[in-house]
Amino acid sequence: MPRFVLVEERLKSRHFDQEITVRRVCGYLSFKLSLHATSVRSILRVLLLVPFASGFGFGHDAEAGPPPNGQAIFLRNCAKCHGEKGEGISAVVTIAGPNLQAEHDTGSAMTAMETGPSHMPSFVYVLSVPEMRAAADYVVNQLAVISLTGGDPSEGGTLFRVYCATCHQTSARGGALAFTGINAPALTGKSAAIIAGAVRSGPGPMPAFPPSILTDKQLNSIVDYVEVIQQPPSPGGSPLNWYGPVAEGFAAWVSVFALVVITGWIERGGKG
Amino acid sequence: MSGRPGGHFAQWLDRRLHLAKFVKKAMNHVFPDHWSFMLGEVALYSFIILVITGTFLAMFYNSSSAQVTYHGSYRALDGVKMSAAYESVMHLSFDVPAGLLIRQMHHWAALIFIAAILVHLARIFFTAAYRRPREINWLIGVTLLLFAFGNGFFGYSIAGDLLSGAGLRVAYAILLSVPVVGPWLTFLFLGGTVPASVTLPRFYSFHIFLVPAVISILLAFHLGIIWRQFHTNYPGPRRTDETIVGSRLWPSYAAKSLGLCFFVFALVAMLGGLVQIDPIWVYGPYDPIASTPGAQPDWYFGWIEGAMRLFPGINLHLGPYLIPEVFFPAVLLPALVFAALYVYPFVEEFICFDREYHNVLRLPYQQPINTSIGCGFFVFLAVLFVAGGDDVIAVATGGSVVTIRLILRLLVFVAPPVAAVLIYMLCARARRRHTASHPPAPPEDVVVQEETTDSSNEEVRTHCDWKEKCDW
Ligand code: HEC
Ligand code: HEC
Repeated sequence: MPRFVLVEERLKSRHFDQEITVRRVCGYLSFKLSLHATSVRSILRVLLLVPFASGFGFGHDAEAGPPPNGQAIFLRNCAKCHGEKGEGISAVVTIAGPNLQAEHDTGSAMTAMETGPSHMPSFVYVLSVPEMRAAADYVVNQLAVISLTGGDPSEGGTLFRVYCATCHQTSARGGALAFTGINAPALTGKSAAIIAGAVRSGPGPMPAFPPSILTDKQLNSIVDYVEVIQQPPSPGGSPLNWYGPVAEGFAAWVSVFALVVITGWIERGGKG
Repeated sequence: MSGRPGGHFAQWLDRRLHLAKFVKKAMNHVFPDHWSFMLGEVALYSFIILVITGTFLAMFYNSSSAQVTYHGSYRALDGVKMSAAYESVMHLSFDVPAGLLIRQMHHWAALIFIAAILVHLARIFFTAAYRRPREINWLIGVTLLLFAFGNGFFGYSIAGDLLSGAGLRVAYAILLSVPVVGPWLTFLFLGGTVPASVTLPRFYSFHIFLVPAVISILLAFHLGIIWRQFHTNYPGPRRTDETIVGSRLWPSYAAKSLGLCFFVFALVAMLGGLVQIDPIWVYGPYDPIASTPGAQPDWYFGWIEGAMRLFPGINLHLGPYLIPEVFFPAVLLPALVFAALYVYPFVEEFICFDREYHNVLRLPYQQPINTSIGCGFFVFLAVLFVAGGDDVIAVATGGSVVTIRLILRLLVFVAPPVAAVLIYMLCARARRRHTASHPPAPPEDVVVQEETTDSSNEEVRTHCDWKEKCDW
């Protein structure tokens, strides 16, 4: 069950107000604590975003006033990372917020706000559920202009190998870009919306692929293929993390080392 | 009549071929006991696995580069245009029972084959077993390594996937970079600009006929010469250049060797069944405009790949000729490395004025110069080898490939001499300690025992008489 449904069920309970106040405080603290637990790199990333965080408006009251205005909430809370039109923003080293113009699923938008994927903060302690829903509706109905209608994965595979694998590797496990020292990220765990948005907007050093280069149908095919290759079949056994010949060579040397040990064991007559 | 099973048949054979004398002699052949003397056998058994599994693969492989449309079991490539070669490997991997298992075993065996050859080579080198009278076998061994490299590359290339194609493109660039004869070389090996329609059929015939035949013949000579010259011995009690201490071929050595054979088969089968290698369906069919990072060759070309990555972009103009940058790391370096391997025994012989026959090995610490040269050389290759995977390291560690490359460029100059000096000091110290604690004993009279016919399992020694043999 997606977590946002749980939120809605909790909303029906009488103690929800108290609960959310307590969790706002706890959430703030745990957000601070999680800073210490993450790697240096993510600390830098989050520090980069601290100026944005000041605008989040902790303690906003959930119930007062007219129905929440999705656009206003989005502009106040989200646009700093995702851009005013949801077009996405690239920070210096990485993406501040991805392009949201292919987000057609209110559910996943709610989940994103609730869980805070990657370095996006969780908004459970910042926005009330109606506000989150309003923001999600705004994203899905107003900002999502890239159509996601399902394509042909095998055509997408051919396109992916030509347009994307150059940087992201055929297995979509990411690759190093020579001369720049930047690594194209692995595409595992990226939702269809993020993939499509990235293709159209081109975050950071990645080129943008407008409809003049990849038609909507081709884009959808690529998205479908990436979803296949995120979990490619590995009928041959352990895929060694899809590192390719480097890992295979390593495994071969480990095996030869094992055989050397075995020759010693045989020579000792199978003892010890 | 003999009560043994097969006795009749053995007699029947013996009456026609007079084998008994030879077999008896062979069974009594003495091999010294040491684990490091079995490393070459690991390579031998991997080669046998390669031949067996390769025969299976050849029943399904089609080397044509004609374009076909795929409609096999792997849905994500359905309807994609590809070469018939790639399609046949896809069919083999997904639709032929046990096809993928055998294909993976073949590939793993190839990786292990070459690794085992190198381990064996290192054993020979660091114990100075290449000295007179065994130079010929050293030369044959290095040639075997060369052919194993070549066949590995042919095999890697004929699957027709994106990595194969990328490898071919690199091979094309390398061959073309050879001054003057480059274009002719590309026509000879690749049939012109890759991917030419003749490239795969040509590679295929090299891969399954020419090179395996050459390897088999060289292997036969390699083993025959070991047989004829007897095996070397580590220094130890009663072991001299004239005697050999060990156990007989039958049953002791044969049992050990057979056991090792089973282990090699088991390990390769286990890898083939449990660890995926070369997932061509993820790489996709070769497409000249596609490419991918992490496109490494198989490990044994890693050092050449690494040299190409580390080498700066220097193009040399010599009169009307251009020598492009790939020539230095990808042609000159391997040529020098193999040339060094080929001439090493003769250079040592020349420098040391060593005309003696040697049947007792030197331990690494007894030959500090050799050992340190060898270690420096291996460290040099190891740095290049790591450089060949620098992008994978960058992705795996989240580091920057530019920084990693810079560090490796420094290391490739610094690490080998440091390693060599360090190893020299260690060896020299070990040698000093050893001579201090073992003052040279007065020469003892070596009593040469006659060969016994007792084929019991216990240690035997034999007069190996090779001096007479080698003087014919
Ligand atoms: C600190 C910057 C930041 C802020 C502020 C932010 N986001 Fe995000 N958002 C991100 C990042 C980074 C991701 C990508 C996570 C990933 O790669 O999986 C993301 C992903 C998303 C996704 C896509 C989830 C998916 O997997 O499809 C949605 C929808 C989204 N955000 C909505 C919002 C909304 C609505 C707000 C405002 C309430 C908001 N975000 C505020 C950084 C931010
Ligand atoms: C020139 C190399 C390059 C090419 C070609 C390229 N990308 Fe990227 N891509 C990148 C880099 C670099 C990033 C990371 C950007 C950042 O972190 O600032 C990235 C990021 C992404 C992301 C992650 C976005 C996010 O929000 O986490 C997706 C998804 C993606 N690319 C998909 C694709 C697809 C699909 C294609 C083919 C149409 C493609 N890329 C082609 C270099 C490339």
